[in-house]
Amino acid sequence: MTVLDITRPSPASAITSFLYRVDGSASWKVGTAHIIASVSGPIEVNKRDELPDVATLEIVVRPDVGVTSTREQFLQDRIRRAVAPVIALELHPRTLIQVVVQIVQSGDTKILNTISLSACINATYMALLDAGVPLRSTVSATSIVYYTAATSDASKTKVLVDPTRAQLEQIEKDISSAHTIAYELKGGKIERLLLSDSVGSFTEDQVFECYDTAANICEETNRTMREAVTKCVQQKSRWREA
Amino acid sequence: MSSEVILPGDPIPLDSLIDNLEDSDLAPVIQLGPGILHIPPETLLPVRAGTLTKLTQSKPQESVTVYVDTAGGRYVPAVHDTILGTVIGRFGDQEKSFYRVSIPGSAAPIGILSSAAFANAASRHTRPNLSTGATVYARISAFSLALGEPELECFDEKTGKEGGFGELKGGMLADVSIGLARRLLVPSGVYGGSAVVEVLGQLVPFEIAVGRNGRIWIDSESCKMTVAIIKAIQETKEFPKEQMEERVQKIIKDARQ
Repeated sequence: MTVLDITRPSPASAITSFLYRVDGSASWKVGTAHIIASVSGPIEVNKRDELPDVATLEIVVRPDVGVTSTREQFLQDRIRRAVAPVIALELHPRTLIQVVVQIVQSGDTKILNTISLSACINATYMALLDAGVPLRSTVSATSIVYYTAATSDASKTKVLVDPTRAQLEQIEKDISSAHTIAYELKGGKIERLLLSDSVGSFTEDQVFECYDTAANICEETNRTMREAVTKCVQQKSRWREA
Repeated sequence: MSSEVILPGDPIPLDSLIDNLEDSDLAPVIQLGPGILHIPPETLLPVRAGTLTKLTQSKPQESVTVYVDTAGGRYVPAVHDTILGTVIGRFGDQEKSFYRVSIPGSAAPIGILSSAAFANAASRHTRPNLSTGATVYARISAFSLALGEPELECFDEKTGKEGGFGELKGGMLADVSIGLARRLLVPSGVYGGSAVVEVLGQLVPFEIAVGRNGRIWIDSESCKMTVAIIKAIQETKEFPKEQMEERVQKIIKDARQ
């Protein structure tokens, strides 16, 4: 395997439980991306959407600018793929779990969706956690961008993890592929791959390399999540002291 | 009582639970509370984020109760829970009529209360006549998420008497988190929770009803005092005991002026 030049991510930050009219909320910031997710549920479900043995999961993505388009539909679909497998939907049959994801700042350039997608997955998961929706494990997602750096010697493949918008704009023309990867984690350790969404041209080796890199980053992201949740839980149980 | 913050999927080793128990000839008993799923044969899976709480008991048998304590989330009805609701309608005929009761903040938003489900309601003439908008303190007598609307009752299940259930007149309703509602329902010594009610009780006479759906009803000598009591309960929900006492005393003192 070639030694890659990986730029480490800017640390992510999370806040939970800051919206009062929903059951759970989370704000997720990484690089220049900022996503707010809110969860209401289990609530009463529309008769038409009712499922007899499981809860209905509704995910709505609201764009930062303009009206909902195919891009939001794409994000909704991918978020569902990443988080639905860990939600214990069968514990709340015939109800609705409604997730609203507001993109505050997408952090993506026009041609990419990867930054907002990974941030949306993380924000959604944190909000579900805050709402007390039954979950089997934890989920973390990350974005990995490959580009060819035009250096004096022959062109060299470089990797960016969770880049900022400025970084992306700088290398926009040289981007060869972008990958969004979500892992399921138990007790802070990688358990299985939930989502692998790639665009651009890349080799098989690069994909596997991606999975390895993402595994490390996701474990780190997971620690950030744990810290945020611990802080929130401790704040809420201060009454236990003395 | 030990406590640590736990996330979904974190391992809960059985040994860590059983070690708390004293040696006994009988097999140790582990009781699972909310937030923990049992996957046979012996995996315990936490499904919520919160404080992992273990309570050991020696009577009637050495046992440990383990659950994930959370402050927030939406209320999911359960049989025997007491709730505070609002009458929003009535249906049925004179012989057999029912009230439709809205249960705010609940996963199942509307409950059905039979007009015969009151103390002394054997005869049609002694049944209470509730009007739309009335606040009722009721108990959930039957419910399953798979079947729909919860069924409500307004009498004490042990004695069959009124027991404080039924319409609440006057007073004021307020929202609290379901975690706080749960705490307000237990004696302060056990769980630290309803200490605020005891402190308030020493300062001012008042009535309180706590619904597990995250609603409380308060009535006292004046509207001003009622509002102050609600403020005291809501504001001090996260305060450690001493800080809570100080704040509650100040709020009540200010309301008296």
